Amino acid sequence: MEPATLAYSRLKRRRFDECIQTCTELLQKNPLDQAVWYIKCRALTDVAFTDDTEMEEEGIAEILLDDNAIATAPRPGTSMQRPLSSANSQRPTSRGQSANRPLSSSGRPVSGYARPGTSSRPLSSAVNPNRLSTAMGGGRLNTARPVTSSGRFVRLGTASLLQRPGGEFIEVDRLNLKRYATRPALAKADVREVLSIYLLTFGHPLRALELCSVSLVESEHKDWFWKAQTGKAYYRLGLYRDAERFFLSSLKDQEMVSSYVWLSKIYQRLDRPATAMDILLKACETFPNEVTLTLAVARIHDAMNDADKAMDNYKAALTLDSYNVEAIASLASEYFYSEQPEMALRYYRRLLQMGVSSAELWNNLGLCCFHAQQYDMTLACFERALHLAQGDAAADVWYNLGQISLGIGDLGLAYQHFQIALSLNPSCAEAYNNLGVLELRKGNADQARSNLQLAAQNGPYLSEPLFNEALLSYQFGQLDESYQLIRKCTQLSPNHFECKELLESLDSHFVTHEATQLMQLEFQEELKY
Amino acid sequence: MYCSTFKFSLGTSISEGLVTVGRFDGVHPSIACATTAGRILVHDPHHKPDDPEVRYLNINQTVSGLGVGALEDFRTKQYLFVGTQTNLLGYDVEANTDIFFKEVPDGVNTMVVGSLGENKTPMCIVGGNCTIQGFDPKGEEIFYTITGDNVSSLALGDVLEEGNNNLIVGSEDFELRVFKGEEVNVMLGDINIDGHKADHSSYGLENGTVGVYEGTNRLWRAKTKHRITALHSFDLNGDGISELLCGWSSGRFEVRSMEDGSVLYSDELGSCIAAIVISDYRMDGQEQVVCVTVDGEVRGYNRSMGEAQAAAIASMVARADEEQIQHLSQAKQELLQQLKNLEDNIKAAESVTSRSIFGTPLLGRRDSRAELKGKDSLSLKKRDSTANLGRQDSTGSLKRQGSSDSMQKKDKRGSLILRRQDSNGSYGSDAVVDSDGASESQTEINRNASVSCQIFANYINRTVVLSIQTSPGVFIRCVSVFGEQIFEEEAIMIHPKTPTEYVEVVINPKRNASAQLFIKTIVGTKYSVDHFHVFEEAMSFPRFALYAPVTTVANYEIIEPSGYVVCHIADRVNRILLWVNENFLINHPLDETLNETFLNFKTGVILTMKMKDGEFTLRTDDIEVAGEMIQDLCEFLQLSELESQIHFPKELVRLQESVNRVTEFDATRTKLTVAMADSANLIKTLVVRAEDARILSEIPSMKRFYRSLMSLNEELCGEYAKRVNNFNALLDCLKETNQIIQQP
Repeated sequence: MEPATLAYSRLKRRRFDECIQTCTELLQKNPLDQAVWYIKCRALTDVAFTDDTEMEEEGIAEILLDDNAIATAPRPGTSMQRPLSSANSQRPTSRGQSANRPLSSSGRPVSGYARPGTSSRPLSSAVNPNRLSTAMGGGRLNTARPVTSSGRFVRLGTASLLQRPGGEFIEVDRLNLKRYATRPALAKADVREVLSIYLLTFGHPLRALELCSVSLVESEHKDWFWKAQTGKAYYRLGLYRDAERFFLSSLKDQEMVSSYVWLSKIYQRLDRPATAMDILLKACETFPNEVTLTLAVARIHDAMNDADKAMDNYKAALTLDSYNVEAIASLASEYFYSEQPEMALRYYRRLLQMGVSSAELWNNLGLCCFHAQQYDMTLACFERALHLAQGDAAADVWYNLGQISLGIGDLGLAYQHFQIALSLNPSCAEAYNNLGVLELRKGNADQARSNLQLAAQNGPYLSEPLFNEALLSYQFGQLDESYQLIRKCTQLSPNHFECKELLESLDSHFVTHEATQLMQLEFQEELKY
Repeated sequence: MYCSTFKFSLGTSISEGLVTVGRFDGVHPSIACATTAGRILVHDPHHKPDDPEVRYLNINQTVSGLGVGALEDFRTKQYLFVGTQTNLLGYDVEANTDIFFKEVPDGVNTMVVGSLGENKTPMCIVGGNCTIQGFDPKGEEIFYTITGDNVSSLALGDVLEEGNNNLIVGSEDFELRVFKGEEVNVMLGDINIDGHKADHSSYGLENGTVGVYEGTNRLWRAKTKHRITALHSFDLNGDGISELLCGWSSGRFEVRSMEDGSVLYSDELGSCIAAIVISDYRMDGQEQVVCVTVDGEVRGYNRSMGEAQAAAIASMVARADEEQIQHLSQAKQELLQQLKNLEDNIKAAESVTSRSIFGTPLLGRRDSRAELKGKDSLSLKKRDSTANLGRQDSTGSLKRQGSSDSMQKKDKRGSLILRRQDSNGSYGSDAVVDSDGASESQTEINRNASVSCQIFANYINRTVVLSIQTSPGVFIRCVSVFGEQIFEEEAIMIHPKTPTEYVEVVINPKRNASAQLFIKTIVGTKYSVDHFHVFEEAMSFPRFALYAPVTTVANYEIIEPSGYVVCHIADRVNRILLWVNENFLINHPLDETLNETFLNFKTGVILTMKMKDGEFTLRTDDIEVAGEMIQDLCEFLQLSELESQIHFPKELVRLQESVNRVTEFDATRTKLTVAMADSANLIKTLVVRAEDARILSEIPSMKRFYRSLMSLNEELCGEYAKRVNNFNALLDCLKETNQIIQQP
């Protein structure tokens, strides 16, 4: 077969590595072969391409130096910065409350599906005083956050290119972009479009912007693609308002799902979830059967801690696309946390049938089985999970096993499980907390206290270790300490009943103490007379 | 009568004029004000228990306009509109959502929310660099018009009393325009307006003047040395009539009567008043006046109802009494003055007669000079008769007055000067009141002295000159000329170093405007120390005085202008000639032809006028002048519509050029913005990494990061300077373009 055709065929079959290899050989022979150059460019882009309609992970710099949000203290339910507050706070306590639902390492309630961006954004400083430390840590264990998201793109791009001999494929700085803009389209495919995607993918938003503006002028400001592409470049540069302008203009020319999703992305970055939602709902009118839009709406509801609406949207997405992993997983976890493990089990089994097999899934299945009282299946599921688990996932599985052991009353086993979890992930706050409680049961109060303190240190978003320590201090008569801890705890979970109770009893202690002091004083004065 | 009912401090400094009150949740009022750091402070006294009382909104750009309004009629919920130098944001404070975000390249100087004209849908009207734009709730531009210069204030109100809102626009070219729809309906010559209410519109000027218009007539004006910073109207004393509330840069808060501008109440706040707003801020069912100062102090004033009404009536009665007393004491003063004057006159007459014997040579010289000038009307003959009370004098051009008449019109302040004004603008005679009664003949001027004023064009220097000539022996000590829009400070004062008989005032008006000149000449003899006479004269300054007929200008090469306006006027040439005579410094004979070429002294613009067979042709290259003249002519001839053909090739070229430049500058701006955003990303990275290195106590790399941070910072500053320059150039260009478009 003719090598160029072969390369193209490999591109079509998504066998990119082979395709790139063939192209490189061909280009060594004839560096000016434009067709081959085009194929290689596309192949390289496709390898490194990430779905840009998803929210991306934010860098430390973006989080710490963020000034895009207008409202610094937004009202509950209007911002992504306050995930623990909800617009309808009068919901029954059994559902979706932070006290029941575990929190991710960034302090948000865990969602059923790990996705970048919104789910891992740390809380605002008002809620979380240790903002800096949470900002530095990544969403997963022992990973650092990228410094900036644009830097992350550069890194992703160069990483994939460094593996290839000869360094970067296109010398971006030497490109004559004006020439590309005026040249007629190569065959059917437009070189410029591929080039612009290449530039964006490999972290050259400035050059991409130049190309876009030249192309826009050439198309007399009528081409939606170039407008959207300009918007993307602006977005990468952090000029969200300019990006917004271009996407809106692009939508006027041509309504596209991706443009709508991008707009909602921009509004989420600007911390205007309601506006983002409006845009998506408007898009849903034009594209009623589009799963991406329904899912995007559901995600925003999820991020705003509005589980009911999120559920509705996930269900709607599932009717449109019954194979949607994200919707199934989210629904399953929601059912699990709203105490319907049987329903959750059905959804997880559906995932299994679809061929998904991961430590997390088996772990969840195990938990569901346990809570649905199918004890025979539980341990088998966990065995599978352990078999598949790597890194911090293993720690989580061991932690859950510890929970199961607690459930069946084998405290010694539980103790060991938690220890193993901690050996795998030394910053697992929940495990420290549970270990602390177990130590207390053994009667090692000092051990217990140090464990609880470690838990509070590692998980500043958790209220449980604080409450436990407060209780401990209370029992030991250290009322001041207990009072301070319980105050912190009430800040984190204002609706925790036991917490309030403890606070009240502490209050009464202080009041009566003061009262007696006063009485004593009066008594002394009386004596004087 | 009134006192502040509440006061508190917001704790930050507030930008001047950028304060509003809105019901962002539809029920509770909160104050929103722009702070100096590009943030907006929202103070919500009726907040929900778990919400903070003061919230900040990040805008990240200098806020230049702030407005509040409901864009849907059926809802009471109000939105906040934030204008910056480049864009306009409609923001729902309660729900934390955008309503719209619009790029406004002309910037936002001021804004107002409301409906305009017959279109009842409310919109956000934004005044910027020569442009006025209106945006509907979706952010679509539904209104666009252009004014002469940067818009400095906007107000809505039914000025023309037609049942619809008119837009009143104050701009930096000293104009107050009233827009009906998109068309200028009335033009009032003045500077920045600030506030407005119902049938009265009040205005405040940069130079510290405040005044009130009723419809399009000015009721009163008052001037202070402070700058007015806030203006509002509200019935504070509960008498059913709105008062004018003014806030001054000195921190003074005044309540003035709408009718005559008298100060009813005043209060001192610590610093410059940023704004005055009206709202039911305490939610007790009563509207309050809320003053906010730039230091963040907030003071509220309640309307005093019930007893206050009584107090108001009482005060009105008291005022009437007071007025009467004032009136009577004034009359007494006048009579006293008159008596004194009579005595003085007798004394003076005695001394003059006695001295005149010795002073003959001097008098003779005066006489001869008078005759030399050929002014036969100036006579000293009746000298002796001045010993009687009647003082008679006359000049050729000026009207003669009886002294008994002049005596009565004394200055109200009871000063030394007696003055008289004639209704037809002619000259007022003078009289002197001697304060110490000791008068010397050397300081006593000629009884028949006169002052003549004239406006003429000086063709050599190419200026318009107001000359003041006194009769011989009378020396000018000081001249003050008052005329709105003619001088920089609306009046000019000239003290000749040595007393002279002739003074020239060069008049160089900034724009073509007709005005009344009030000339006061203070004269005395050469040795006068404390006896002076004041001559008053009023004369009108023709609107196009700066245009002089070319025929009289020496050595001027006439280049035929390429632009022209042709229109058909069905009127006699005479009438147009009348207009010409009235508005130009020319005395054209009223025959049947008009073919005149004029030269503008200031700009050197050539203008020719021709009238032939009812076809009026005006040739000039300055489209603005042409427009002004045609409008003025139409007004004179009372034509409401005039069809005309215009052709201005040079203007078209200029427009094209400036449009091109605007595009160019805009492209550069975009490029610079992008480059800066890129550097900003780099800076973020460097800051984080440097901090990281610091926490890890890795000093060498920390140093390295901070060093590169510094150089990047410097680079950014340089870029910023470039950007500022570019932006200013862009603004200038835009302004020029807008002005070209605006010219009628």
